[in-house]
Amino acid sequence: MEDKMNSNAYLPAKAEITEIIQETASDIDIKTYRLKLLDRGGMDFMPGQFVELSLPGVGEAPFGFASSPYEREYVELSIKKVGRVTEALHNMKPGSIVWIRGPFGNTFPVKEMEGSKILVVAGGLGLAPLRPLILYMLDGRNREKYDDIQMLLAARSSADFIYRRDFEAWGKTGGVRVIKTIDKPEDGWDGKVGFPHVLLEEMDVDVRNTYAVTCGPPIMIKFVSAKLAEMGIPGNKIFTTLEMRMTCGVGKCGKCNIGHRYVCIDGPVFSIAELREMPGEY
Amino acid sequence: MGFEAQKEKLAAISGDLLSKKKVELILSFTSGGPEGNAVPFFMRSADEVAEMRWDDGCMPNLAVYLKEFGGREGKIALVAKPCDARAIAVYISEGRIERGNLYIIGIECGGMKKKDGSAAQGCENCGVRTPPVFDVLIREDGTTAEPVENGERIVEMPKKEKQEADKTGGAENPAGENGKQEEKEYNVSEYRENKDKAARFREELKKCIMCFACRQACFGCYCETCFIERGIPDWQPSNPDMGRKMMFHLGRFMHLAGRCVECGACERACPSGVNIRYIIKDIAGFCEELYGCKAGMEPAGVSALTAFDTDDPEVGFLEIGNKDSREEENSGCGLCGNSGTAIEI
Amino acid sequence: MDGVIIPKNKITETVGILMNKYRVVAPARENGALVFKELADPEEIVLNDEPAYKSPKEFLFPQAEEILAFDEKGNVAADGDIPETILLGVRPCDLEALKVLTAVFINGKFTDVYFEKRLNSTILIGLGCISEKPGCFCEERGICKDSSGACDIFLTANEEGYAAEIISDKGRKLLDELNAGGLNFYAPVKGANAGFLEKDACAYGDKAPHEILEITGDEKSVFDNTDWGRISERCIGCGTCAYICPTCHCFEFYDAANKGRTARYRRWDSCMYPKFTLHASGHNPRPSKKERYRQRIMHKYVYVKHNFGYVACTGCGRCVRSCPAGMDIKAVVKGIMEGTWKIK
Repeated sequence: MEDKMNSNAYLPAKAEITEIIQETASDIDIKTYRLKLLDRGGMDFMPGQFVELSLPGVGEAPFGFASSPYEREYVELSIKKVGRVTEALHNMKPGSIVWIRGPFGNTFPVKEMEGSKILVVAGGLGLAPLRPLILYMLDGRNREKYDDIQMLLAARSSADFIYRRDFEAWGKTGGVRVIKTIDKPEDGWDGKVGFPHVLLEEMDVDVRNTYAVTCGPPIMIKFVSAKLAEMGIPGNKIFTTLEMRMTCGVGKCGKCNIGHRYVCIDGPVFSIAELREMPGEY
Repeated sequence: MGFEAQKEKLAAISGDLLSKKKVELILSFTSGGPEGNAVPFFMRSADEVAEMRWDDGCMPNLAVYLKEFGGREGKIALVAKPCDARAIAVYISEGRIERGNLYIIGIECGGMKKKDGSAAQGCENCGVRTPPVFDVLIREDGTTAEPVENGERIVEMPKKEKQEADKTGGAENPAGENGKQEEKEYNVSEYRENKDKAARFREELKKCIMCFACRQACFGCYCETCFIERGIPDWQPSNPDMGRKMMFHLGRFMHLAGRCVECGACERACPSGVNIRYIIKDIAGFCEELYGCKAGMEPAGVSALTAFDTDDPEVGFLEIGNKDSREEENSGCGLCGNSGTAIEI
Repeated sequence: MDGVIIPKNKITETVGILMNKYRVVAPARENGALVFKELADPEEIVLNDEPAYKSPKEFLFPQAEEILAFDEKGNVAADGDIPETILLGVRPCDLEALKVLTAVFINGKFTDVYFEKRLNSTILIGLGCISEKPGCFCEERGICKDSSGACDIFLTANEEGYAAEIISDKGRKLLDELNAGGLNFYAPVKGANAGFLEKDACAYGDKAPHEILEITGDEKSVFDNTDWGRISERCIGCGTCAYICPTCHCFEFYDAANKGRTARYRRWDSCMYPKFTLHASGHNPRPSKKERYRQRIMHKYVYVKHNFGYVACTGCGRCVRSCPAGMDIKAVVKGIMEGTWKIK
């Protein structure tokens, strides 16, 4: 999937923010930005990949795609306000110009996963990099390639969910089950309560025929992947996506390596089997 | 200088401390590197003491390791030359270390020498031969002395001895930079107006590659985020041009005013051979002359920048903005030679 | 093997001729230190056995390089022209190091066009060393101190002057250019009896290839079971080693806005600096010196080898000579392989 930007991997393309959706209603501020590239609309990418987004004079930062790979008119990025670039971005309005380059990184093994049941376990902003995968699998072109899909979507509180507008549509798709959970009980909450790795025990998971995909805060990934392995899913069928500080995004600047693996080239998607071989410097 | 005698005593003290487990670690010196120079040595057992060295090549400032060790697990000891002990005194006055966890083996020193026999960086004009803070002192002749009250004793050299030391640059180092003692010029206005000083500094800084080795090697630079790395505005040198180099070095010198103990670690660390102590030597002189602050001579002391008296003379860059200085060049203090701004916003 | 002999007394003249057409970068003195710099005068050149304290990598990979700019109209443009350059007097250790940089920047799915442009505009003229300097360990890294094929022309000093061996077409073209200028003091020589070194022959002495200094074994085991804290305790984190190392290539982007034009610079960075891997959230996977020193050694000796095929250390010895704390990378690697630093 070579994007036809040009042969200079550091040169970004201009994009306009066409819409900004406020995702969370809590102190963790997450917004989804819909970006339309001025020269081509959307981008040619696969689930798991990321872009480097520039604000001239402020800086550049990596963000995973959060929209469907089939969307031709725009791409979406879900961004939490956490540092200099993201703060500047959060102060922008629709119509503003940003610059993006990509797609970079590896992808979820969508071909390998065909024919299997799928289990998605996401926590908070961790649902963002998984959304392209979900939209890909649920798309009419692909739905029948995958067996039943279960999604366990977790968040700190009901105000911390992202993509709530999608949950109903996902749940209504044939063979898809969506379970929502929050950390502590809340008035008016009709979903589950409890940490995902605990709730997994109650779920009916066909461990021999399931691919699991998980993403969320590091501690959640740790507990969830341990639980999934304990339940019997082999390490090479559990996938996650990691984040690291990046600069070039193309495997040159030496900033994002975990052991010999560069997160921008050998990742950001890694299997748990790979993670077990990787040293603990992330 | 009775190095042999001192070394014997040092070995005895170190061996005792380690074998009786009074301390976990002793920082001293040994030979290392391709040319067998003196390098820091972390001794943890009594049998390592045999590899220790003590002579006139022991230049490294061991106090810099207290940035990490100061007050952490266990008690540690270190060999402290006068400049090292002064650095520790600065740390004490700034609350950076757990004094109780440190056993300072003070050692009298007449100056270190480079391989070619000339004075080591920082040793050329040093008149301080006795460490101002210690738990045990090894004198020049190898005898020891105990501290009095609270583990600290400031040793003032008798006036006449001090004057002699000033003239000859301290005991065995009669050669200053030009083979003779440099005239000490501490007239700030004159200093600032002397364009040769600025030109000379710019010339030196041409070699600088902004690697920050000087900052890392300096015991006094312990900020978690250096001022040059602050984000807003972005002082970071995207392009290490003269203006940015000036900003970094001059800023660092101001932060070290009254704190620099002239140990020479910065110059030794510099891979490019920049003589960066050139100006800070004079700043240290100014602080002493104007404010009576000589860094690290008193553990309970204050540094020039942390105390204020309404009678303090106000000189130096605070004179910018008066009519006479505006006539020079375009703006700013004119030191970097750039007309206009040295930073881009 | 063929080439020419450049007589000793004609070196300056040759350099002068080259300077008419090319930017010539060669070892010269600057304030007493020997560095690689753009010559202003052919007399400046110093071709003796002294190593330049910095590597010549900055001419292919500058310390700060503007890679693109956003202007008032909002456009983006990548910057321009690189002068045709001759990099003269590059030692085998530095030539091998350029091979490492080339593998990192050019091979793979993406190419660093800035490095590539500079490499294509540069003619490399190597120079053999006569003796090893204190701290050098190129031979232990399997690199010949007196010969290298990783250049366009290779110079070897002999009694008459310099034997200039043609290695590549670029080199041949250059020598033809010089000869075409009507200078007939270059005696073209062919064959091994002209005093040239055989490309494969090398003064390894009695060091067999299996003694080459490198880190072998399971990556995770070396990572986890080595006492990095003890190895690195003397290090003061100054980063000098990365600046003068010919293979260190890590970088960072910085934006500098000036009067409506924002330039993006690519600037050297070092894994030894605390903020190298600092996340915006405040999390730092390498929070202290020992993790960073571990990264330096592992990246150079294991990861770059795994990913790009070369060990990112050519034994030039600069880090050993310049380290203010006496860290010695050769001793560290040897110690790791001998099990000295194994965590008990």
